[in-house]
Amino acid sequence: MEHLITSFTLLLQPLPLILLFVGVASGIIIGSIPGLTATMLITLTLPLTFFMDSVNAITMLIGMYVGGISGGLIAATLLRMPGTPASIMTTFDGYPLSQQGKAARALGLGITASFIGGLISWAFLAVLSPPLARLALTFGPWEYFTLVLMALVMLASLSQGSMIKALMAAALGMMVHLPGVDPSLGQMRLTFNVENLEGGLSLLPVLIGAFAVSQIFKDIIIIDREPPRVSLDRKGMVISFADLKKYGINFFRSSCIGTWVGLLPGIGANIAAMLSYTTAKNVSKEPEKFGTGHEPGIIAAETANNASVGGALIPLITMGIPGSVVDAILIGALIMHNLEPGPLLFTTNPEIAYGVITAYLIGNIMMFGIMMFSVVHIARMLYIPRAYLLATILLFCIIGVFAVANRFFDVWIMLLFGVLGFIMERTKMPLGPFVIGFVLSPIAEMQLRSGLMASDGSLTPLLTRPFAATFFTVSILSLFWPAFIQWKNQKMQSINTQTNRK
Amino acid sequence: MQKQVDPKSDIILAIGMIIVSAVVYIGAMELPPPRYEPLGSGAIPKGLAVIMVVLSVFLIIRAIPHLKTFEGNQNEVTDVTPRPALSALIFGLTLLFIAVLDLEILSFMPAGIIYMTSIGYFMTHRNLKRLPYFFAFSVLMVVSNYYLFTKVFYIDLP
Repeated sequence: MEHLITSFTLLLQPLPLILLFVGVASGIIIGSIPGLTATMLITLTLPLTFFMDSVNAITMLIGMYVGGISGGLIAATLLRMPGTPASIMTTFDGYPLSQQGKAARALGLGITASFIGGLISWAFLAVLSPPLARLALTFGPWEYFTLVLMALVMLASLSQGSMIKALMAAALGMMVHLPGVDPSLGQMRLTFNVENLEGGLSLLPVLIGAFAVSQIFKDIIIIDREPPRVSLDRKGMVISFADLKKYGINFFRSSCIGTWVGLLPGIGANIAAMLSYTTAKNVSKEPEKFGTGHEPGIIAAETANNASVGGALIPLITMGIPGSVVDAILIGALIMHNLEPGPLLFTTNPEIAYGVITAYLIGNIMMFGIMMFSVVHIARMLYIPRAYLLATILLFCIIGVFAVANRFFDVWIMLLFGVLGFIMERTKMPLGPFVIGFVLSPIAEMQLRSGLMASDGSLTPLLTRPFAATFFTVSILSLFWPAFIQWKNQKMQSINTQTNRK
Repeated sequence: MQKQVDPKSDIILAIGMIIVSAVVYIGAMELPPPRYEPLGSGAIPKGLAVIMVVLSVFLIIRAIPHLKTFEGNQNEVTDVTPRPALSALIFGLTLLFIAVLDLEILSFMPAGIIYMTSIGYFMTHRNLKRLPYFFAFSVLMVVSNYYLFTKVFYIDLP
């Protein structure tokens, strides 16, 4: 509690507040523009944070995270174009409601839901993080190795599309981190006599290439797409107390679902929104109204996607395990600032650990204020000519990557990963597992090798240590469960077909 | 409805991944055997390469039966005409811009202005009327970024 109060005092100073405001506002703007995401914004901002104090840098990035996820609802509601993948479910009811002449009401509900989801998940974040970090301090190398394994396998099994491709993406991400100095023995490996590879592939060129550059070239293909003009005023946007009371259970249930999904390693806000929306529909007395501009649908989707941000921050600050792709990038940001993400953060750098918690709350309050008062103006940003926007981002990618180490090798690597990201997107190979594999690879390798050294090469601790055994079992189940379900469904289908024939 | 993935592209992807894995495996074979710890430097690269090959083989096996039945995504309806050639052109210009800077043919300011103006020209359907606006925008962006990085962050741009 003492640390939390100190953190509030620290963050309520002019500079952190300004940076948080800039982060939230830019996150909302970028999140509102279809095709541009919070992931892209945070990745592109990383080079600038080199020149900032660590607390300020992380504060601004958290603001971008909150703003980016929330901003997506604007385009989803007004244009049926989700600003971010997290807002896909919002299009189902937000857009039909806005088409009924209630755009302000739809946006008001979405903004309020995002805010409440953020507040409830903040409570979970603040209450659960310190004891979880204390628990994580008891973890040894086997627990960490199996935790990383669980994160990667769960992410792959819950990714939309092919699980095989998701696992391939994770393995590829881990491979990309291999060149350079072996972290245990200090000898060079897989450098193929390329001098620039001796330091390994840096985080930024890989991330900016895979996320930003590939997205730009994808967006250029559909550059002629212009969003339809929509008129909007703020009348009816403020949600009454009666509405809050009426939808109270939905707010709470969706917040819990969002926080829980966020907690699971590697799973993002889009899954949270999908699960929450489906649950709201299943428990509703009027399920047929979902998809026609039904208000509980907007609330379920928007509450859960924002709540997942708070949930995802819990494993990040307590164990150094990313709850989503953005969290993987935030881990990268912490590492770049010479901070060690994980339970030790609470003892070695409490200003960072509690700073994340505090920034998340203040960021949500700012997000609510900014969106309620200026959503009409933010909506105009949807119509910025794409050519200007994409050209600026492309130039910034090149300068940003070059500036980190003043070498063109990184810029070439960025382009290479831009091409790779583009190919991965075209072949439906998800980028999320790739990035998480890339970020978690050194942790997994270090912990496995330390564990094996301690156990004289024996793998038995995987089964004898309770937490390690649990994480390992969950990993195995996550790997084979989807295949088992598919086999079971096929079997049921064939039994039904045979019964019908008889 | 989600777009169906071309099984041919799955097979090409899998072959590409097998080649990458082979390179990693061969590179790992050159590493010395473990001496002070059980795994050594080469075990993880080799393990990952093997996992990748196994997954790639699975992908190929899964794609083969769909080769004959796949009808393509030609019926896909889009509200705009896709411009893949434009994307390729901008990529080419970006390669050229980076090469010009890397080989020190031009410095950042002139190269950046030419690069941004030219990609803007192509992205706006070669509209000459918009060219002066894009040129002014390019000058503004390049000069402001140059001063931001060199004077505020003290980073020398080429």
